[in-house]
Amino acid sequence: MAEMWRTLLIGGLLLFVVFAGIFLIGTGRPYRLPAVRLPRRRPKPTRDPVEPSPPAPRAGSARRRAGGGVALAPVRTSVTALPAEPAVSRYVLDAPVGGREREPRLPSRVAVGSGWHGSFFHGWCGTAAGLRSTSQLLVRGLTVRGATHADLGTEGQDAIGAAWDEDRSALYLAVADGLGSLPRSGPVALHAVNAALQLSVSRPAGIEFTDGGPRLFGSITSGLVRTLGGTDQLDGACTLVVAEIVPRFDGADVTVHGVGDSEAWALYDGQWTPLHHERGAPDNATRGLPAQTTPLTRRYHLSPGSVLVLGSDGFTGALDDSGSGLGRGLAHLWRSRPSWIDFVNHVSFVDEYWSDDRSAVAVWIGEGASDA
Amino acid sequence: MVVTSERRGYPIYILLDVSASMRRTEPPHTAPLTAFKAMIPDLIMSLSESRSLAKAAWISVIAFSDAAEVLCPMSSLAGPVSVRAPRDGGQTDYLAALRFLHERMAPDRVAIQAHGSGQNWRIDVARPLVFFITDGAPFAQDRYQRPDEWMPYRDLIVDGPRGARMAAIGLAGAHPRTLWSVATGEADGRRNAFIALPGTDPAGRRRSAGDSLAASVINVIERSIKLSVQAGEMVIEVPAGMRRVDG
Repeated sequence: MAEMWRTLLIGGLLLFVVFAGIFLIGTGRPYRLPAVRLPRRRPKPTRDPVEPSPPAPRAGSARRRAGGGVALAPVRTSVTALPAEPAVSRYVLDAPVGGREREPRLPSRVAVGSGWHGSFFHGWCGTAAGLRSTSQLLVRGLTVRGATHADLGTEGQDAIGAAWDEDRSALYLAVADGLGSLPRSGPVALHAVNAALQLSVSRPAGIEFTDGGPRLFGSITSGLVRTLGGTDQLDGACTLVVAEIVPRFDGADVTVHGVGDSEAWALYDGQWTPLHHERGAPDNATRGLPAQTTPLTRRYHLSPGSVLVLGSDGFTGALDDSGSGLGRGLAHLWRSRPSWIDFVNHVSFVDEYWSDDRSAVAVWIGEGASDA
Repeated sequence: MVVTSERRGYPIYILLDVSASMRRTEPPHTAPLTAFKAMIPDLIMSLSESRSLAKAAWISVIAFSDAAEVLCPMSSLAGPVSVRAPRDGGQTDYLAALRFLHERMAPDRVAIQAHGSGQNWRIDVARPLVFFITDGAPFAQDRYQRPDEWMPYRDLIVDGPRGARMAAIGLAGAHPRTLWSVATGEADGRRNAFIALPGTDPAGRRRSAGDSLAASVINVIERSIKLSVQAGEMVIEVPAGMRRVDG
């Protein structure tokens, strides 16, 4: 009797396993998580290979009502049919010798905003002996108007800039992010970047950049008020992060001054390290010029092979030192300096959350004209 | 110290007066409450169609009259959001409404933060954005409520570094000074308090232009949410058919 019950039990278990397998697997093929989720809404033709499909037009009938006056807002579906690694390739008519484009020399000073279009610059700088640099910095900068501004039809409010001071053999970088609550924040940000670079390069001998943070930010604020209107008429504000990079044979000395949530990060050997950030403050109001003129100041020495990145929160907000998707991706992609078009592609990463203006200025330390 | 990637989550509250006066109909116009009941789901649908906004914004709808009730619990715009119909109410109990909102804020904050757990980023909950829509003065238990009864709850809601930012929107019948007291505003003293212009009938339509005041309120709220989430603080324009209330 016991034998019969054991046989029935084993048989039942076997049948359960078989039916459960058929139920879960369905077709009998091995079950895999879908790599790409297909849209439930009918997509419009995509405008760009890496741009997600725009949402389908809103239909009045899409709002579903159940009896008793319950109204449902729509179920949103995630529609991301993107290639795992977007491919950007140059259109080459006549390949350069050695297969690599020559890197131009960085302009002595460049400052651009993201008002109504993206702006980009790149080039090498450093101490040079003749046409060859001896200590090298390679700069890439991009600022783009965010999707949110584009949706609202408003002006982008980020600004970036770089300046090479031949006399001091120092590179200055600046990133400013206009505060969206004020309409003139875009011009304020661009003016702040211009002023930061101009004042850093033209400061009197004897005033060290490291010691002059409050004075620098105070002067920038005075200039903002003088040029764009009195404090009560300024109608704009911005964060600002400014860095001095002094290249040396063994890397670079870096000093960063910052007010607000624009940040500075360093990448070395696959690891991101924050140099300036103001995350975790008890008040989530953003510090910014002209109201706050006292920057946080930090000094670092970066080794050859490091990458220094200054960015607005639309870019650096997605970075962390514990393995964010962007941090991991860029640590891999920026092991060596990317081509300028790849840099544009990397900074313009696709993510539905990060839709604010996005700016980054990056410096590869120890790379430059000699390897171009 | 580990520096974690942060995403900001914006709690949005719509407090809707559902007292008897909001159901008053003047043919051929619909009652304001009927208009708002139809438009709030549309507002949510429209907001959720903005993908970046849907990733950052959370919404809750609370009705108040003799008491307060949740029509829609704090819900991510990235998911399905349901808004149920309110119960018919009589009076306009500001104390009940503001106390109820204050009691909801802490658990709603926890709920939003919990949404980030298990991700490789954390959610930094921003100051809540509150849109307070009413057509009456504070009146409950057959008497007017004194400001010292409900203002302490208003202050609890808006005070502190994580306090809410509140816009008070008054239809015909609202009390300007009360709206100004409820609202928060700029450092220059301007507050986000608005009241219907004369010539707006109780049904919520401007007689002169034939516009729907309710529609203009909803449009302004929608734009305000988009601008505020982008700006990181409350940005709101004056609805068509309304004026800003001066202190």
